[in-house]
Amino acid sequence: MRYRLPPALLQETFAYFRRCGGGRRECQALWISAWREPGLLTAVIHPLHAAHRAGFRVDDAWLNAFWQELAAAENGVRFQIHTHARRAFHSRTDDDYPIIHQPGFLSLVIPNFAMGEIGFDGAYLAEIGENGRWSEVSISDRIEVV
Amino acid sequence: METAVLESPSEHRFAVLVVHDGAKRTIPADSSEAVSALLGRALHDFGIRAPERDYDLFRSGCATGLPLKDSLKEAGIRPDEELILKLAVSVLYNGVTRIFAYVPPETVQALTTEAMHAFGITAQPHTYGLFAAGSTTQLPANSTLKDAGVKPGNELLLRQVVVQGGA
Repeated sequence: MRYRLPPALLQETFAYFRRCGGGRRECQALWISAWREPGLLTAVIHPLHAAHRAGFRVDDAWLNAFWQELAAAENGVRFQIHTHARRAFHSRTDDDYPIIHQPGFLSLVIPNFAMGEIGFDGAYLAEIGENGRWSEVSISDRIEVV
Repeated sequence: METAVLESPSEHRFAVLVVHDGAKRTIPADSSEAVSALLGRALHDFGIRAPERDYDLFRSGCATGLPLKDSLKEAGIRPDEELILKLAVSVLYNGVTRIFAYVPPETVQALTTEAMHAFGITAQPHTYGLFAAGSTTQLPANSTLKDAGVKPGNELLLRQVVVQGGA
């Protein structure tokens, strides 16, 4: 599926990364949409998480509350987005511990702690296939900024 | 001159067979009513005084219950169809709620595996767990649902036990 991403959501996402990460720590955000219209991304969520030397971990209590909010609003998570210090790629940790593990789920990695220009230069996008494995996919094939 | 086509009320009304604990009842139904209304009547006819959320209606062989908000027509319920009334728990995953038949001696791991399959989750089973709403303690996988404190009508969260990332 190709998702429509409002520019304001992209700007807000980078703002979260810069404010939270401060150019020194990895950070994560989520893009969600309604199940009745999954192709239009409607909000960016900034999970409560703890950063550590090797990355970050999402808070368990926050996850539980978020799960209930998603169900009540009938929204679904379509993308997880997180930053790397330098080059963007999908690490073994990224492969093994995503927030969603269904075919079609997308994971976007932004380089340089998102301190560069707002956009997808140097970014890496991975998608879970029907076989449950991650593979790189073209960003323009999955995201349309509208 | 246009002629309005009126549907006969009788075209909407029919009966379904509901089975519970070995007994069978014929329950009147209306194609326009919600599944929850049929569930309420079935509980009443069987003399079950538990809250509606404790139970759900299942098609034979289906792991997930009928969607309670759907009309009988939307749910595809046909006249004389046989439905099974069972104890149920709700499981939430990525904004979707599904109802699963609940059997107290069943293990937490068995329900976890069933729910992962129903939601199309392709992760390794040991990375996922069930959580009671409001608790960050994973339900013990090898415990029975009963011993884990799960009760009919409970809402359980199915999620990755640890969510993390990093270079």
